[in-house]
Amino acid sequence: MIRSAKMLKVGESSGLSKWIAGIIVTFYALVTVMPLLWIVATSFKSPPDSISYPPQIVFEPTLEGYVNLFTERSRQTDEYIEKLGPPETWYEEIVRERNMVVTGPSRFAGRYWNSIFIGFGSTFLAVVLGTMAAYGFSRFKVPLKDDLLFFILSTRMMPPIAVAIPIYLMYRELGLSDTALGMIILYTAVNVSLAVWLLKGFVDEIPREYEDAALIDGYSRFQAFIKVVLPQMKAGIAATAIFCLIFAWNEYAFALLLTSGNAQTAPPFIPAIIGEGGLDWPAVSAGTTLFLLPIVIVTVVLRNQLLRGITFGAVRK
Amino acid sequence: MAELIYKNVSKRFDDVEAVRELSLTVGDGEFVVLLGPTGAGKTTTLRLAAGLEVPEGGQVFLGGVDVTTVDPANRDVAFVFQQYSLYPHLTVFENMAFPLRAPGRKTDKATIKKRVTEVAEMLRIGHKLENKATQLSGGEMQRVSIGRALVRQPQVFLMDEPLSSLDAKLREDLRVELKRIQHEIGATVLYVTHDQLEAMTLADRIGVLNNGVLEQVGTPREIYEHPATIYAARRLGSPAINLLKPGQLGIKCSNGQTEQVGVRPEDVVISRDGKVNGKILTVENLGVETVSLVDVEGSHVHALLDRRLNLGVGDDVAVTAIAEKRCEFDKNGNAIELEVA
Repeated sequence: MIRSAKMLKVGESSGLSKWIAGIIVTFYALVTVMPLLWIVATSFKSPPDSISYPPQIVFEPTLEGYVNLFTERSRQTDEYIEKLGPPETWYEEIVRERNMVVTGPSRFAGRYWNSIFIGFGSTFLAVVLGTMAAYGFSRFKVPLKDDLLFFILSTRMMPPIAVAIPIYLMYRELGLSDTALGMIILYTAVNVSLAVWLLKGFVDEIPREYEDAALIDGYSRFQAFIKVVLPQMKAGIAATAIFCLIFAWNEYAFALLLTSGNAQTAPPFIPAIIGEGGLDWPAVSAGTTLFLLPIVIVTVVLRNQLLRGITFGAVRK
Repeated sequence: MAELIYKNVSKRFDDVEAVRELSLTVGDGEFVVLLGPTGAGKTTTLRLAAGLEVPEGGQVFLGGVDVTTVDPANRDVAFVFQQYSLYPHLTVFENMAFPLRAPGRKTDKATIKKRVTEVAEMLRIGHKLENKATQLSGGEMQRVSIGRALVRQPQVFLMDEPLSSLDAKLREDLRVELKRIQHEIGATVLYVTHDQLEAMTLADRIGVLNNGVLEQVGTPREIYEHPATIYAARRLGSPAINLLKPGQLGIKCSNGQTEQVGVRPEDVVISRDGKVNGKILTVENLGVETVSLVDVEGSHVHALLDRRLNLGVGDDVAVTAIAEKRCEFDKNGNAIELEVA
């Protein structure tokens, strides 16, 4: 009997299945990337272009959305604007074309800063606390260890918003409502359980012998943790930090409920950007685009660590 | 270098008694090997000396000082682990310099460089110093691991099966090197292994561990020729010692308490002439020697064959033993002193 000359190795896929996989991945990428591209595109459209029907694929790009996002404006009569003389800056020029003048900066920059401060602050805290707790749970005899770990996990078993009212009341009593500190504490509390569980897996993977070796080499337990354990946890910490950051960054419900002025983050602010005669879609899109940037940057910077981190537990070295 | 003394040391883990009332002295500059199977308490004994475990009872002395409860960092011992345990995020140089850079040991940069380079040359890994620890072969990793211990000139070297994860050829090379280095620097070494060949070749003295109890301590020759227990007799020698009933192979026992008689395979004599009482079951040609399993009087006995006899499987042979070389054991497995005629 003549066998086919070309044999496939185990695990090697045929040309056809590669094609199918490629098509599925491409399709999935299109589905997920399209809305993002549309948002970015809309942020560079003028308001009329943004709501024109049929939708415009090719358009004349303008920074109007971004200008509207960062400024407060008021509508004025032609005579008033003429009296002002020629516009002094490029963004005033854009604004005046719509018969408006810039009256001051908008609150977006402040909200954006709040998001950065609260998002990164709570991520930092959750990862620091999570790393230390995970190390403790992994290495030491902790009384009721399993119960404690289950208890920590159980805080994740309901949607956080289910406790919104008690937290709202607590925060009001404690004076934490609408403060950055309050939001950092809240997001840290939610994230720390995830951080402990994820990181404990990573610490468990690091053989104890490294620390034994460091102890004998003349280091204290804490020094051994810093010098030997932490560098090996880099991938795990990076992966955990991204998960925590994404949660804190995107969180909407608590931010809407607990913040209004001082400590409001970007997510509840962006949908509230209202322009003349309804929602100013280019400005909303500009806000969303800028809002996406930090996560994209952090993920790209950490992506090598992240890939290692996600596969870490599954593959023996 | 210094003397390491265990005095009635005991350690238990929950229900398991890992080490029981262990007393042992490793003299200054001496190479002592602890021999025993997995779970005999070898590693625990080492970890007790390093301070990674604290004993429930007894004391550990290092250089005359009671260090029973002293932190590992302050004991000045070096440990070579079975799995190398090189810090994967550091280069070979950084790994070897790691103990010298410890906060308590403030060594200046020039000295560190000099020491590490010296030791690396001695271990023949000088050209690998800039490599990441993970980019080395198994043999190189273990050299680095030994090097990390050597840079410090500690009081005592503790080695936990450092060669067991290497292939046979490499193991042999490193074994010779280790012995040479130990001689060169006059190091005090406590070495743990389950490999009797390593124990025989490396040790000044061997300690045979069984279930956390030190059964016998002595030179390899003492233990081989005069084992204190059946257990010690069986740990050394390959193929293992033959255990027979008194009277078999024509061995007469002087003592009525003798339950078992031990005869080493090289002391079993096989010939074509004489009263036939056995049949050859297997023949293994190991090059240097030929080992055969012989069925004698209902027992299976290992013997070394004289190659010139040209014997094969199924041949009938006459089996006797060199009676003077026998060991006798009582019903508890302890050796009975033989009266030398």
